[in-house]
Amino acid sequence: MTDSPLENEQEEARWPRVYLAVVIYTVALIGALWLFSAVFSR
Amino acid sequence: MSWVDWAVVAAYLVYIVWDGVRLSKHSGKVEGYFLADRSLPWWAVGLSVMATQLSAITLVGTTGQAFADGMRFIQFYYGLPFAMVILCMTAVPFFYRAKVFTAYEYLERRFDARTRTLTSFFFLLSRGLGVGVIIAAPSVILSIVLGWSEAATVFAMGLTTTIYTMAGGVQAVTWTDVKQMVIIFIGLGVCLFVILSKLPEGVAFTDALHLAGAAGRLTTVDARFDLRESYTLWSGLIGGLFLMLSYFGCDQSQVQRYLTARSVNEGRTSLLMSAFIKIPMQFFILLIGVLVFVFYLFERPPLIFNRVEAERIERRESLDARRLSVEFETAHAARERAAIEYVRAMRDASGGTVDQARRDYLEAERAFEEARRKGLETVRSENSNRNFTDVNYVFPTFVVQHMPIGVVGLIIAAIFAAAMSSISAELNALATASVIDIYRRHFKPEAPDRHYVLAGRVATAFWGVFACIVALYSTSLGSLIEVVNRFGSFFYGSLLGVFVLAFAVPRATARGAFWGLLFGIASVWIASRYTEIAFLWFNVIGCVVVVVVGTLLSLTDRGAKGLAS
Repeated sequence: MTDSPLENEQEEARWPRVYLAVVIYTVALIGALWLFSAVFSR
Repeated sequence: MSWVDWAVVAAYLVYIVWDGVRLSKHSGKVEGYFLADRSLPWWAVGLSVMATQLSAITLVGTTGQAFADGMRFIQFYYGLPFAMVILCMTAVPFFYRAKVFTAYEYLERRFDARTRTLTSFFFLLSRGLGVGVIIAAPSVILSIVLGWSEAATVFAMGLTTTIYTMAGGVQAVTWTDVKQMVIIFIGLGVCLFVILSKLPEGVAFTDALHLAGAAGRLTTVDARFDLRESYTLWSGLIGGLFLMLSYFGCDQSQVQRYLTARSVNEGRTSLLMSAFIKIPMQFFILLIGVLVFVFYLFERPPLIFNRVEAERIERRESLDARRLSVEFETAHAARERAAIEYVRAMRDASGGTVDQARRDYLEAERAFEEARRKGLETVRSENSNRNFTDVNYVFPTFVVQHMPIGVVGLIIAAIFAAAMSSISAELNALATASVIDIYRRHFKPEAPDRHYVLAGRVATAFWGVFACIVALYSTSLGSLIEVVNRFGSFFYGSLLGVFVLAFAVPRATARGAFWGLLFGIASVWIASRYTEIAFLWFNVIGCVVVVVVGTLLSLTDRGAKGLAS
């Protein structure tokens, strides 16, 4: 990789937002699966 | 199987071996053979990560589990995305920037050679045995479909994969993984479509889900906190998190995948691909198993799916077996009528009738399950096979008996693909750890590249044969997916503990890490031997014991120094 330090810093700064998106997505997914189960198991 | 199905399977096998072997020209150097010169794009690495985790056991074992027990198993994966985030922040940059070949090599830089060798040894032991179980699953299928002996199928499957892994190294493993994942996705999609088209007239998809849900097959979140239960929300989130951290962060078969990426960021992206896709994909695999359950509400299933065991019972012509068969047939007919009535009642949507129809359906389902349980008990007692379990035979039997021509071949090819993608990655990782951590480190530190590449090929061949021998013994164990996960949990948590010490405890010393690891494994052994704690929690126990004991011992070391690198 020949990225400049500035590019690397910008790239690193992006990751916390990506991680947060993964966490929110997972919580929403588990919630959706619970809802699916609840709807069809009544 | 028709000749068309045979042709599909044969075409797949020939293509994949040819594709893997032709990549051998890119693997003349050590870094090329073991790490693909760190040049692979994130999407190929991401698919390879998923293909390595998704074995034939996942396809065959979990569909069977969903048929028998529902979707509870999905909770096993709830900790995975969180583990991926933690690893993207820690292990991926640590390993990548350290320019190591194996995860354990990093431990020598952080601690000492003894800790590296011990962790690598535990990896070789647990994975060497684990890959045997991974080979056993498709051999079970083949022994049913082809009527071959299990020994012949084990060697045919294991040695085929060994050939292209030996020749092409990690390049062959990754690029065949990509194609194998495509075949798996297509196979699963077609399978789901065909099962839905086979539901009887008047039973819609939502009716099928209601029938499955009423029978307890759609539980995806079990919020009870019970340490003895294998699959709950908490065991998945906490125990699963620790297991996934260990598997993706300390198991060379996965670490090697993202070490082949072009950069740290591409390595991270490849792991996050699993974070997004794994749970939905597992949901669809389990859904297939659940829909097979619904399909057999309207089509008489075999009392015993394992054809060999069923024929042994039939040959005896005992009165008990005949009575059981009649009882089973009656129970199925009653359950089918009750299921149809329940669907009709839901359509009419009058509250009291629906409740009554649901109660009748559940009563019939219980009677049916009882008849089936008696059948399994009969096999266990009359065939003197105490470990017998039928779940692994459900899906392949369904495929062979009820899928159309061509689709059978496609799904068998997908199961082969799942098996071979995992086997190849494991063999490649076992060879890498054997050569880099043991052979080059302790026996021959200075040699030309071609020597280590040759050693890598010899090690791949050795582990391929070893895994085949283990596979011959593991086909008689219980649910295969659980066997692999239980076995992994025995070592994984403790290995994770050593890496936690390395990454997060600056004062940790080599002595603390070494003895902490041994204490961790001993504590897991004690927990498994003397308590009823479910296996996912072993990962937590092992990790916590290693970190606590390792930290305490490190603090008692005179002149303990902080993190060196």
